[in-house]
Amino acid sequence: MSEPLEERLREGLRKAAAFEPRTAQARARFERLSRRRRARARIRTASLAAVGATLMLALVGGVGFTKDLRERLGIGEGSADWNIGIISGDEANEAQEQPAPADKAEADSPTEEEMSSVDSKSGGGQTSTEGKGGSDSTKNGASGTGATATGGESGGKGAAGTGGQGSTGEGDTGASGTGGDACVAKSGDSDSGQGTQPSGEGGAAGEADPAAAPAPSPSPSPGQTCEAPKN
Amino acid sequence: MAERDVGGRLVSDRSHRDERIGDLFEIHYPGLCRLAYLIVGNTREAEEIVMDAFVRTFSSWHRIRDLDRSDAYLRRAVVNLSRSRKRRRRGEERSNAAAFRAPTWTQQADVEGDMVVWEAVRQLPYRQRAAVVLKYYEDLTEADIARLLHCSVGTVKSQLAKARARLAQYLDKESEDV
Repeated sequence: MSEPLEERLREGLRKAAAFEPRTAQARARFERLSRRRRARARIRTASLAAVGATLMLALVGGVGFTKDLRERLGIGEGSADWNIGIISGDEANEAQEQPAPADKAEADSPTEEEMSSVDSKSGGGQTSTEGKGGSDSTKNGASGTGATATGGESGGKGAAGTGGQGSTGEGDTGASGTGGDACVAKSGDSDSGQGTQPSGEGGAAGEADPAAAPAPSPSPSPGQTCEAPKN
Repeated sequence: MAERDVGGRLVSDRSHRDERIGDLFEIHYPGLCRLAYLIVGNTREAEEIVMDAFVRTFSSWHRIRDLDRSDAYLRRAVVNLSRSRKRRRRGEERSNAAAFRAPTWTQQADVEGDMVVWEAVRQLPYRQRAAVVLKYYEDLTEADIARLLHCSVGTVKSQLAKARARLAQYLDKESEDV
């Protein structure tokens, strides 16, 4: 039973497939399709190569740009310095807690009242003034103890006056006595407080506080640089 | 890239390569068309499958190491494409309808007398039909059929046994009716 069936199957299939395809026509179509497929493959390869080259250039350019940026910003190679624009949460909190630089400067600088007291102290025997010159001078002088010196030898109540910003002091000086030679003030530690103090003739100190100025200070010679005694 | 010729020589000339592909096409195309027709049961679809198999195989020409076995590559491609074509037949039918062409072959044999066998084979499921065609038309061994169908030899045997049983039943019924 099996062998006749198999033979019948073979015969039937052979006869069912007994036709002759038109190979020449199909070959022409095959060559056309092959050319098209090859062209498509070339385009795809070229596109991939272009994309790869673009990515490579972008990568190289990005690295170069980062390096250049690091050099410009003066950031080292350290890993921590790489976080230029990225602030972690802890860093952000710390940054918020810290005062701004301007505020910090103000916080570090003494108040006007502190200034005046410092000034009077640093004035060391000379009068200090309440005027804005005084305070300004101290301010400008920061820690300028003895920023000002008074000139003027006098028999009076001592020379008074502080160099407000090394200026002539707008009424804040009351150089007394007749000396009045300008004394070149020497700044203590600061750069402020310089200035020449014009000599005054007699006269009381404008706003100078006599009480704050102990009596007669040793009068330096004209033009002599005076340094404020340190407390 | 250099390719190896049938005799082992290196072939780098593109025109020579195209000529060789053309020769292979003329040698294998008719037989593969018949095979595809027996598997899918449709002349137009069979032609598309064989054309697709040739284009795919020879567009990656450099991957074929042994040109003497190019018929095996092509047969495998035809069987695989027949299977995948069956899966996505619905989408293909739309595109084929748009690009419909008349079949490029002519029926020469009178198959009226054997239409019963052919109709019986067409009734079989795809796997059984492919196994029957490869066994009784291509005269392949069961191991080769298993490789082509991506299954085990035992599966091929069982598929062939089932197919024979169904065919015998169908043909007996037909002979009784006659």
